[in-house]
Amino acid sequence: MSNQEIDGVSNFFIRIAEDPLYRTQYEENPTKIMDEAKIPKEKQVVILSGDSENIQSALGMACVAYMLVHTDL
Amino acid sequence: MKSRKKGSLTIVGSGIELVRDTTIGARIAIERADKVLTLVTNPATELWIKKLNSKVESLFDCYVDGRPRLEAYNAMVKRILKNVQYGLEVCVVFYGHPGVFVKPAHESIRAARHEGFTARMLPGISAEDCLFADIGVDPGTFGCQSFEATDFILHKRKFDPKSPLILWQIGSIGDLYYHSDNYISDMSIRGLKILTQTLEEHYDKDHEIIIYQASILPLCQPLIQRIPLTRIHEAKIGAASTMYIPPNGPQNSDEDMIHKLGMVPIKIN
Repeated sequence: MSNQEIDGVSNFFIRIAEDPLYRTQYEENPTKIMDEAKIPKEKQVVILSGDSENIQSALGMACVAYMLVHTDL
Repeated sequence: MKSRKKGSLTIVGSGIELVRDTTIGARIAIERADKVLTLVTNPATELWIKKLNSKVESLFDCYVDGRPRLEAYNAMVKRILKNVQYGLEVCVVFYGHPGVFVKPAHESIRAARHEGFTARMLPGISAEDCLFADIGVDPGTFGCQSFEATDFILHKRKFDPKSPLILWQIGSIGDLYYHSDNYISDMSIRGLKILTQTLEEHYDKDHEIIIYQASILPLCQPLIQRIPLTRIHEAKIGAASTMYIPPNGPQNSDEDMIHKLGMVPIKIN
């Protein structure tokens, strides 16, 4: 995932966590909301699957990439 | 009253699940700080903290793959102290509860106070708190014993199988090194076998245990695997996995103690 994509996925989860209305909209039409949030299609499949392990590991691995980029290692 | 040096340290926890678990006190401390240092485990939390306060810096680069975790902790303490010594109001955000399994948090507090700075820690939501909620366990019923898995094996900790037992970090038994992935090392696999053998001395082989991992994101469910003790090797275990072992056998009260305490049966309508 690129930095921009990681930020996109992260922002999506932040909005879901902060905004109950946004979450309701997601539950009513997940694909539309994820398209609006610019979630890459392959990540949409993972999120829609509801598989906690896959979602968390996808984000976990992305985290490492994110940190490496942001700390200029 | 003795005057304190300029500069202070507040250590807070982000909790486990994004946004939901960060306390109001922690959020205020983050927003008001001159500098925020973070050690959190996912980019969403990192980004959210950045939205609360733009003067944020990650401590994640203190970790070096394949190097002892203790080296990373020492580097974190140095960097935290350096910022406090500059005279800044520093807030450090650790994942979960900042005082639970977070050696550099306690070390930083001690070092800052030793140098005459004001330093405090705010409690947060730990993985244990999530476990109680997700599995439905009340430590007030049969008590609760909690050990770090390596410590449990190394020191042959005494425990009561009739009280719940929680073992932390079962995915990194005996492994003192940092690994950036969530997979467990050969050393930890060996450690898990030793742990199973130890537990088999105290529990029935078909005693059901739970391998647990809290959810870190909204929309996700916690990972709860129920499996007989002898089949632990079949469970998916990662660095963040925890083992919960329910009590074994009936709870027998001591008749003599009931008499000494003067307890009498009560009838509930």
